Amino acid sequence: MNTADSFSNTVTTLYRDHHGWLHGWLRSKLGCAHRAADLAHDTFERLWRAGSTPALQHPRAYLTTIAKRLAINQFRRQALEQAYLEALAHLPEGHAPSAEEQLAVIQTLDEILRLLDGMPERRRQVFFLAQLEGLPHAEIARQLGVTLNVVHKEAAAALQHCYLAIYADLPAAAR
Amino acid sequence: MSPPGRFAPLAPEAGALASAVVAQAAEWIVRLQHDDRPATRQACADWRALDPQHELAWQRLSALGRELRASARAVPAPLAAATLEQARASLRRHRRDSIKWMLGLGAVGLGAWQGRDALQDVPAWQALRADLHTATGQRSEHRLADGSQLVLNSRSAVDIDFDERQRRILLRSGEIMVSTAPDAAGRPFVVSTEHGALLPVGTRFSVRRLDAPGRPIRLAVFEGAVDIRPAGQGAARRLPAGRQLAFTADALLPERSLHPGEDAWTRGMLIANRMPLADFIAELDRHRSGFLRCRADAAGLQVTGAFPLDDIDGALAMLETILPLRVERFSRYWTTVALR
Repeated sequence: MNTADSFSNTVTTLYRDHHGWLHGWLRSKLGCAHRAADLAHDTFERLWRAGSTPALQHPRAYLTTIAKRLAINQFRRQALEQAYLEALAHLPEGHAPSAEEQLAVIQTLDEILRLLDGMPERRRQVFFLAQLEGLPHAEIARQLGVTLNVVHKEAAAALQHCYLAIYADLPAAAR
Repeated sequence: MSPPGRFAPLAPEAGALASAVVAQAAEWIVRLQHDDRPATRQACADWRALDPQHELAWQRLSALGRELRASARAVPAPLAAATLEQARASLRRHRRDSIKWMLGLGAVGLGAWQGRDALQDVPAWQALRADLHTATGQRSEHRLADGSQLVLNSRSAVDIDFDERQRRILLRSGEIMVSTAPDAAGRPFVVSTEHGALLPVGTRFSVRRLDAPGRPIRLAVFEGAVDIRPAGQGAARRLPAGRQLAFTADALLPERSLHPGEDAWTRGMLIANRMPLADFIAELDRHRSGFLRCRADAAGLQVTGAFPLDDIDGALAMLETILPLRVERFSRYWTTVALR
């Protein structure tokens, strides 16, 4: 049996053994049978798409972790779309982006919002002003009323924060 | 597979880096932004050369910086700031109540997972805001104001934008068949896609956008001809009847002939002519709710025949009679096709 096929067996077995349980667990958390069914389904679909699973000693813990991540993705996306529509409503007439542009913007902002998760307030301000608005550090220091040195430090810390958001799941390097 | 989204990990196979090394690389990057004297640049180059891990950290953070700058160009700064702050506030509110149970996760560890996740949730956003859309398993036919005919395949969404200057259809997702009618007012007909515009020359053609954003769009011309105008670097090309090709904003992929019956979906049929089973199952999957896949060992089988799209379970039963396959149904929503 080749690897791809043993993988599909693994996912199928996981589905048979745990799908009902996961659905019940999500329903108890979300209080909505439909959303629970969707999320349970998406969880297994995501597993399938990933193409491999780690050796699972606690399959239910693994499945709930994926389901939580999917739920957070959905919440974040919904919050973002809502916020974006509100921001658009405040644009002057005739400045509304096309549907294609809107979709691209949502996609981009979703990615940035993910990077920002958990970033402290002042660091985020520095990040916005430096990365999105492209202001020089001296100007940022003036606007925020902090020293230039603080801006340098916060800018570097913001980069590190983004780095972690992207690379935190990697296994330790073999040296 | 979905394409890597923005902010996908660079060289993930090289593994994680020590946080101290990442911190030093971040300091160097920030320092060079405001101090690019030759001595500073040389000191930075020396630091990078000292250890391959230093160089990797530098490369990863530089890639991150480039992607952030590209993002900033894509989104006007005030709009970005307003939207992101608002979205953060509303997420914070949510976290206090309905999604407390998710907090066990923490922020760390979410990132790389989502970097691989370009496919998520896009269709809902597209479909809900579209002028016309079809649910899974639906097809719909429309006669437009100018007499042109439009058919939407399963899970498809378009906007119709006709004004005094043009007749424009925006393909948001899925697949459409267009039969254009001559326009009394002489307005050009345009199908806009993520990767560029299609201008038919008295014609019948189909356009499909099935995958994640960024993946190629497929055009098939059944009558007349269609001019392709890619949005980016790709060269314009006129595609004649009987031909099909896929394109992106920057490239036209090789064209090939149309098989007879490739428009059969407009009549509710799928006509396969030595189609690989994996592709065949993917077609059926578009027309049915839930998850339908074939197992890896069966993916290379070839399928020939005519199958009903309005009765996928019937089509699967037919498949079992003509190929050594068995359909495994684990629930109404989870079905796989395997070798017998």
